[in-house]
Order: sequence, then C-alpha cells, then structure tokens
Amino acid sequence: MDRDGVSTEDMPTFGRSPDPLDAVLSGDPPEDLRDLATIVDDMTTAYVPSSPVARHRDLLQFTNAPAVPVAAPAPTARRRRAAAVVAGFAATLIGKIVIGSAVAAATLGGLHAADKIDVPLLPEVSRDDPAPSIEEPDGQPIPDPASDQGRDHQPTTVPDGSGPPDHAPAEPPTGSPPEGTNPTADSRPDATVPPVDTRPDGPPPFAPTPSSSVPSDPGPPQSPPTAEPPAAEPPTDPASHGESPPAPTDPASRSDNWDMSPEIGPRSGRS
Amino acid sequence: MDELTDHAFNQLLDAAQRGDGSGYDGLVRLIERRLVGFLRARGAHDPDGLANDVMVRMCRSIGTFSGNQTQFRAWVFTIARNRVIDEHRWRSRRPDAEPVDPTSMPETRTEPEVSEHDQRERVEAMLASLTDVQREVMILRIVAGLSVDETAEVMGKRRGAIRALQHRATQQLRVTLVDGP
Repeated sequence: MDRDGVSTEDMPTFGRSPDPLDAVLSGDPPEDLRDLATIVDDMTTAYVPSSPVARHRDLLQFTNAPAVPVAAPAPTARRRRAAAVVAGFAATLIGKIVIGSAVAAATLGGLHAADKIDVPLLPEVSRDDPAPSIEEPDGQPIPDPASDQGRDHQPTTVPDGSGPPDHAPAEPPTGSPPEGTNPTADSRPDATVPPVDTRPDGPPPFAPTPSSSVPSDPGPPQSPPTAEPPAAEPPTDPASHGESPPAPTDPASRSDNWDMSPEIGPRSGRS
Repeated sequence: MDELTDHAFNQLLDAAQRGDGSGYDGLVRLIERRLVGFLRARGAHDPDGLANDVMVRMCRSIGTFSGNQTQFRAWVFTIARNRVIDEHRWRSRRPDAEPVDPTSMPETRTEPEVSEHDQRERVEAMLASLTDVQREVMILRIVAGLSVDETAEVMGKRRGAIRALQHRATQQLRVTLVDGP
C-alpha cells in the first residue's frame, strides 16, 4: 500500500478512463449503471436537505450586511493585467533596452542638473543666485572638482577665442568691482580667468574694496579681503568682466555656476 | 450541487470580498444544502449548527480566498471535514453527550423526517460495508457533489487513489444492493 491507502496496482487501471459515477451524476446514466444510479439517489435523498438551512445569528450578520457599491470594476484584476503586460514587455530584449536607456538618461539628466557632471548636449540649468567663486589665498582660484570634470583646476592661459562663447554674465556687477576675471574672455589676449560673480543683487559676501575692482583686462587673480587688494581700474563694460569675490572661508560656498572658460575653474555660470 | 457560471461566481465572490451581504448570501446558498448533507453523512451531532459554523468561517476568511468555483468548494469542504474530525475527537472524550440532530431522535421527528430517517438508516447500513476511506470518498462524491479532483484535494490524496477507492466502493455497494446489507 502506498501513502494513499490504495494499492499501486489499482491506480494505473483508471488513468483518464471515463468515470461511471460522473455519468450517473450528470443525470442521464446508461442502462448498465441503473443500480449505481439508485445508490446515488438513495444517498442524496437521505442526507441532502430539500430546503435551505436555518441561519444562526453569526451567519446572518454577514448575509444581511448592506450592499456595498462597486467603486471601480475589479481593480485588482485590472492591476494584475497591467502588471502582467508591463512585466511581459520588460522581459523582452526591446523592453530591457528601452527601460535601461530611460534609466540611464534620467540618471545623466539628474547628475547634469545637480552639476555633478557636464553633459554637453543638455542645456545649462539657470540659477538665480549663483554663489561666488573662491580663490586661494594667493589669488589663484580654488578648483571645484565636482563641476570641473576633466579640466585643469589651476588657472591657465585662455587661448584666443576659446572662452565660453555659449554664455555670458547674466547681470552687471554690483557693489565693488570683482577680483575675478572677465568671463567672456574673447577679447582678452591672455592671462588667467578667475571666476566671475554674476549675482544680480548685492555685493559679494566678502566684497572687496573699490580699489580691488577688476579691470577690463583682469590680469592675474586677486587676493582675498584679508590680504591687501591690488589696485584695479573700474569696470567699463559690464558684459566684459565680472566680479571675483574674495575667497570665502566656507568651502561649501564655492560656486558651481561661474562663467568661466572651459579650461579652468568651476562650471559655466548660469544666467 | 448547485452550479454557477464562472462569471456569476466571480461576481458573488467580488461582492463578498467587498463586504456586500448579497455576496455572502449567494455563496452560502451555493453550498448550504450539500454542506449539511455532508455533515449528516459524516455523523455530525449537530449538522445544522456545524454547517453555520463552517459558513461563518468561510465568510470571515473570504477576503483571503482566491480561486474559481471548484477551488471554492474544495476549500469549504476542507473546513467542514476538519471541523467534523475535531468534533469526533471532542465527542470521543465525552461519550455521554447527546446528539442535537432532531431527525436522530424518534420522539421529535415529523412525518417527513421519519421517512427521511428510515431511508437514512437503510443507506447507512449499505455504507457500513465500506471502509472508512471508501465511505468518505462516496460521501464527498455523491452527497457533497464534489468532482474527483476536488475530492482528492479535500482528502489530501492523489486523483488515481480517489478513482481506485471509488471503484472499489461502487463495486461493493452494487453487491450490497443486490444481496442486501
């Protein structure tokens, strides 16, 4: 005997052969099964009641419950079908390529918007109040590795015509002239291009004295407020120069948004 | 057993799972008569009370059920079978407990119930020639109206085993019917 209590010799005999009891229960038994039909009738009559069962109070609490309107037709079934369709699509090669491309594009876009990377084809994100650039105590702009991928962090000579032609300082400088450089350095023959403060209002947090204003031809980076700023000519062309605020002491205030040549300093400024 | 179309059953199931009384009522009507018959055939002391208990359990757990009409019947009769087994064990420890089924007490029977009771005695005498497992297979197949697959699921056996048990049982019953109990 096996675990079913039935000899294994008996089990293969039936397989998928027609069940005589099903023929009787269907209501139209063959002639040779009349005795079996009698047995079925006797058992059904003896045990199955002809009238509904008397319902107790616990059961009536369910069957007498008020009707509940259907808010939405079979949402779980709809969700299952939608989930099955999406899962089926995602399982295909095309689905994987589409989904993977979308995820990659969203990731790159997010990183570009957060100034973590610079995707050339994407437009620059405008910033209303770009933070000022910072400089080393010796006047050299402090590089921003987060926004200056692949660039030389030290100020370098700007080649002719290699300035940032695709953008310009959004606002004319206010307050004291900057110590930075002219972001649109197309006309500059040479020299370093320190970062430019393109903030629309207010002086930079560490506003230099007027004597430290950036000339139209900026020259080398200026020293921070703690140091004695060199004399400089007042700006003549708001669009040709920017303000270079002194170096802040808080590294978190470094600007990521200064208009700079691609070769040096933080990322291009935001208009 | 009463049979519904798949669509009608799904509507009842959805309504019951929403807490709609009409859904519960429909599912109860689908199984109540066959459920009481099964409990009577299995010798429950209070078939009507036990049937109510099984249907209340069904209503409380309907939110967790997922399946078609066949699976629903198998599920309900599995609950009923387990309740009967529990009751038998409880009764075995209390042999003096009186049965509650009115048709089993001669002084309380009505005339139809007398006829029904007599017929039941004849059937029980016929079923006494079967083993317990064969008897249970025949009760589930004929009285409860379950299919071979549903019966196999309720009893926890393979389909082939149910067919073999049923075959032996029908052969024995046909002999008993001819020769007498």
